[in-house]
Amino acid sequence: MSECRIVKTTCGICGPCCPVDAYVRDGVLVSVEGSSDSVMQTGNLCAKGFAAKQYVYNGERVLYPMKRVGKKGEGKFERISWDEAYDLIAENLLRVKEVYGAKATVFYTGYPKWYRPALLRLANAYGSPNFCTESSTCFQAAALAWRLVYGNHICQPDMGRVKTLVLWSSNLHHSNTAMSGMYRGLKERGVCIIDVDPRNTVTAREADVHLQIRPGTDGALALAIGQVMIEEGLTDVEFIERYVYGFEEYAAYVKSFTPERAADITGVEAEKIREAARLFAKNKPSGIMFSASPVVHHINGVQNYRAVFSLLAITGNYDVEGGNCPKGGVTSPCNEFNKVRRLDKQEAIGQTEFPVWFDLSCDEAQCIKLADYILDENPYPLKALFAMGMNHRMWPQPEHLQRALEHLDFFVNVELFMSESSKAADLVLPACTSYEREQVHRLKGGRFLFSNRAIEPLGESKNDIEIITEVLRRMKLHDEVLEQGYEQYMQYILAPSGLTLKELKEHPAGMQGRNLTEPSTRNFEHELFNTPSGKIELKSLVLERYRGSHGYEGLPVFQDFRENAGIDREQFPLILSTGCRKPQFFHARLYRVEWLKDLEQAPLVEIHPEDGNKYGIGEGDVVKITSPSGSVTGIAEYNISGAEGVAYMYHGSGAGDANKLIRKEYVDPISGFPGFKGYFCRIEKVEE
Amino acid sequence: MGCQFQFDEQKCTGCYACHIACLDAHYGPDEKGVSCRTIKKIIKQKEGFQKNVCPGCVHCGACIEVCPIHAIYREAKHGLVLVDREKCSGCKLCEHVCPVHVIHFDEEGNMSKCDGCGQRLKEGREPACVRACPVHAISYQREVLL
Repeated sequence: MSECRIVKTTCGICGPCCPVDAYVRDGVLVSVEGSSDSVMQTGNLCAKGFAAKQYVYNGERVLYPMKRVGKKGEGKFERISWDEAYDLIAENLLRVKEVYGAKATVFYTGYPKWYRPALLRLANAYGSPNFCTESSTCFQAAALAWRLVYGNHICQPDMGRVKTLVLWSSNLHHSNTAMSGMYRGLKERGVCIIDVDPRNTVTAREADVHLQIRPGTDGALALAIGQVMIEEGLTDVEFIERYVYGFEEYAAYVKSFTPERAADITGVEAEKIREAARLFAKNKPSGIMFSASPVVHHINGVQNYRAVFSLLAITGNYDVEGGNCPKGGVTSPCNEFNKVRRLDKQEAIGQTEFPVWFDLSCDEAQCIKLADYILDENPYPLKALFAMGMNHRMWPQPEHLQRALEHLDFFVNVELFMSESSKAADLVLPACTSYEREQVHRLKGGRFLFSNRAIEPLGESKNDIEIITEVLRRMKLHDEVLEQGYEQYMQYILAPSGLTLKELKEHPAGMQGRNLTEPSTRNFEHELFNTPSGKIELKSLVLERYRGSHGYEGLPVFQDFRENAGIDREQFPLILSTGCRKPQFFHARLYRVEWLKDLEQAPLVEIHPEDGNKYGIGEGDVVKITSPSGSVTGIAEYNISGAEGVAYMYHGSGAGDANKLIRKEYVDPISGFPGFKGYFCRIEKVEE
Repeated sequence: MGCQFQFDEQKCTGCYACHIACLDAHYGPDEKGVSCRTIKKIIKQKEGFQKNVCPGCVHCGACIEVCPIHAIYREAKHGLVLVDREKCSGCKLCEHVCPVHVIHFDEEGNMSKCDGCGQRLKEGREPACVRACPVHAISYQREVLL
């Protein structure tokens, strides 16, 4: 047997893209391990990452360009050449542009995120304002909530100096396993940790104070914490006077959110709320670690998160050492990510319903209602979809979107796997995994890392950006960056850092850029906030613009979904929370990886044993979960970490998708994010 | 002299990294495999807390003592407790005495247990589970007096 060689590469299964040592023998990936010499990493992978072999060599991989031969949605395809595939794309996309205009084509990307700027370049060159991503249901609403208050990009606390850290709905031991060591390190350093989570998770258990709220009541808790701080004189009066807009109205609003009232709403004891407020305000510097989705997967999500983020401002923990610092770390400039602007001359999809999304541009359209736009041809006809990683299971009532996809004139999906969504496509093109391509990664600390190709691409699969570039060429469109080819593209990303691609390739542990920006704090002393008032806005003037038209309120008001949703609670007595992170899953993609899938029965419905007793359900029973939008069948398991009255179910399984239970109109009116983590259901045992 | 694997149940977060790393180290992508890091549910009723943890073989040697045909032995170089699967008769006595319940028999009666990642140790690498654990809940000591 020949020797194994180690190739320095990265995992691309979920978001963080951890550095990997890939063990390769005779061109075959035989084993993986966290990179041994990475500066920024403890050298471990999570369960998902360790299953790389079953992901890369999965039987469902698309290996060749496949053209639909059956009816739409039937899933019958035949192999064609890349040449033929590119011609088909060019012909169809140019036809749609000619007949309906460029905006009738939607460019969409799912996970991973690395090629997003390149796809946006293609959308721009084509002339469509409709560049959309899976961030229409993930992360962007959290960023939006922050931006409404502080006017800049959401940031994490200064972990090295923070003394009190609030983890607001993040079970990082399971959602971001690579951070576990850092979290334990905070404890060892004596940092006080306040954890807000509806479940008593492994992460919450290690906190000093755990505020176990009822799902979706984050806003009421944050407002009550603010009330305690104001009442007990724990706010930073000088900071507020100089840098905060709308404090008086905020103070008047929170007055009624006494800890006692909040206790009724949130289920957290009043004294614990006081304790958390005092700790955060007195044991400074304090920071809030945000999480991409749990808080904003509620219909009052943006306002709830605004109430949370406001706590930094009123205690003077914004942009100070140890607090949340927008420029808290060393950075090195680079091109592409967050640098390519979306065309915004024409109305994009989602713009009428969710204007704030566009006012505080994140350079993508809001496509939560994609299915309705396609089927209703409103605001205008959408006829073609060029997608990379389209997964209808990211949407509520996914079957509705699947039907809409089948209605399109032309739908291309570039994918790793012959996914269910791909079956609605006219053309499915094979992408390769991170193990099969090269990539320049930008890391924290102004560092860059070159990810090598560990193995040759399987079948005829290709690097996404090479596909995007060839599609551009075939349509005779122009983009000077893409047209230079992929090698030059990687160099272009790096150029502002002062590094060359050649030298980065020669440094397997990565390099720090030559051009560096040192961290800085208290930037507010010499620059205005990028908000209409130029200050931190507890009362948002952006939201106030839409008071009349959309009913938005400038203050971070709390509205209780249990009262507002108009659901008959006698029929649907349980709260349904879907998609809370598990260590082994990432949306729908990993159900096909057997080692991970076999870790638990699927689809699993987790309920409190008291609810089991109440509804006559034992562990392992087959159960039917019914919500106002449908039913799915799953297997019941007891879990005492969550409170009575709440059922938890992970999403994305073709065998029973929790997202089918979430009504597609049940969204936050500001962000468009679905209330995935706060809907309603009932549970019944299925008699066999 | 033997070796000892230790597992700190308190430290374990139930992230399954060791469980899957064990599969990655021992099986090909088409194999279902049996992970030597099992899954155990821990429930603290009063505290309203539960978690899954992944205990594995501690190479204590209890199974050696009980094996009637000496199919289980302690290997000299790394002190690992290993099984000669050719010899094993499938009597399952070892399964019954294992203090951490990590010896398995498949449907055909073949015994499987942790091999301590002997091959990796030979290459100077840590066992897969030890290397994988993000919170250092699993440790391996090469030389311990038994």
